[in-house]
Amino acid sequence: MSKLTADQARDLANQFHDLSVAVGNYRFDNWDALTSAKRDRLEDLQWTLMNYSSDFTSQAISLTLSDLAETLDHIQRTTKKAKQVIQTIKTVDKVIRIAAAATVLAAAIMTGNAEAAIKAAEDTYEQATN
Amino acid sequence: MRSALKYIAVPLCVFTALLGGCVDLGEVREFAGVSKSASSLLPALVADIHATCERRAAYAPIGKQAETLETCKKLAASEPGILKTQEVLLDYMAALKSLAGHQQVSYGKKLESLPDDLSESGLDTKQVSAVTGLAKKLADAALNGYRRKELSNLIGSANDDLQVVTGALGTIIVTDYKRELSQEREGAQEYFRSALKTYELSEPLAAIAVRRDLQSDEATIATKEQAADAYGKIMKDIAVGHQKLYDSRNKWTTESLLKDVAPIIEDLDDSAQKVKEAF
Repeated sequence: MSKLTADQARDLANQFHDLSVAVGNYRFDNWDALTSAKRDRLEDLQWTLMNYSSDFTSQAISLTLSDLAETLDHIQRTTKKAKQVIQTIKTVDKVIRIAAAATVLAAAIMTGNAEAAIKAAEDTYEQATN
Repeated sequence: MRSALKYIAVPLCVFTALLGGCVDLGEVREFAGVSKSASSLLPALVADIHATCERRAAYAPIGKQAETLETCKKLAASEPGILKTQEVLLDYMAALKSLAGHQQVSYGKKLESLPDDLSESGLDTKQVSAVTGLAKKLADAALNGYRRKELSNLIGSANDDLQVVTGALGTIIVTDYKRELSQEREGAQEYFRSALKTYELSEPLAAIAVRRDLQSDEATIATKEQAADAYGKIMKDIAVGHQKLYDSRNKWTTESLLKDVAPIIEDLDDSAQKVKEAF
C-alpha cells in the first residue's frame, strides 16, 4: 500500500469533476426526452460525483492504494472511457448505470481498495456499450 | 597619507565586495518586501476554498445538501495547514528583507509541531518536508546570528525548499481552488438552468430574473478565477526571482540585481492588485 502524492489525488479530483460535468451536460442536452424521475436520478449522480471530486482534493495525503501506479493508470483509463461513453451514448438507462458505477468506483478508491471496483466498473461499461 | 589609505581601502572594498558588502541590496530588500506583501493575500483565497463549496451546497437538491456540506467541512480542515505553509514563506521573506537591510533575523517559532500542523493541509510528504526545511533554515539563521554577508548563504541553502513551497501553494490555488470554483459554477448552472427549463414558458418575467442571477454568479466566479491565476503568478514570480538570486548569489552587483529583480517586483505588484480587486 502506498500513499498518493498530492498530484495523483489532484488527477483523481479532475477525473471525477469531468465525469460530473459530462453527466450534467447529458441531462440538459436530453432534458425534453427524460422523465422527471430520470432527471432527478442523473442530478443526484452528478452531485455525488462532484462531491467525490472535492473529497479527493481535501484528502490528498491520506489516500492509500495497493500497486499505486498501475491502479491509478487503470482508474484513469476507466474514468476516461466512462466520460466518452456518456458523451456518445443515447440511452438514459445506460448513462445512469455508468454514472452509478463511477460513484461506486470513487467510493472504493476512498476506502483504498479500488481493484475490485475497477473490475466491476469496467464490466458495467462493457455492458453499457454492447 | 592619501596613498596609504588607498592601499588599505581598495583591498578592503574588494574583500567586502566579495562578501556582498559594497553591493546595494535594495532590490533584494524590495523583492522580499513585495513578495511578502503579495503572498499575504492568500488567506482570503484559502477561506474561499470551503466558502465556494458552501455556496455550491446552497444550489444542491434538498437530498444532497447535507452530503455537500460534509464535503465542505473536509475542505475547511485543510485550510490551517495551508496558512501555516504560507506563514513559513512570509517569515522567510521577512528574513531576506531584514538581512538585505542590515538587520538580524528573528525567528522564535517552535518547529516540533509543524509536521503535525501540516498533516491535513493536502500537502504530500515531499512538500511537508520542504516547508519544515525552510522553517529550520530560518531558525538556524536566527540562532546563528546571520547578518547581511550571510544573505547569499541563506538563499543558497533555502532555494530548493522555496521552489517546492511556492509550487505547492500555487497549485493549491490555481488547480484545487479553481476546480472548486468550477464546481460552484456547475452547481449554479444546474440550479438555474433546471429552473429555466421548468418554468421559462409559464413564467417569462421570472425567467429574466433567473438569467440575470446566473450571469451575476458567473461573473463573480470569473473574477475569483482571475484572482486565483494572479496568485499563481505571484508564486511563480517569487520562485523565478529567488532562483535568479540563487543563480547569481556569488557574483551579485547592484546592476545585475536591478536587471534581474526589478521587473519581477513590478509583476508582483500588478498580480497583487488583481487579487485585491477580487477580494
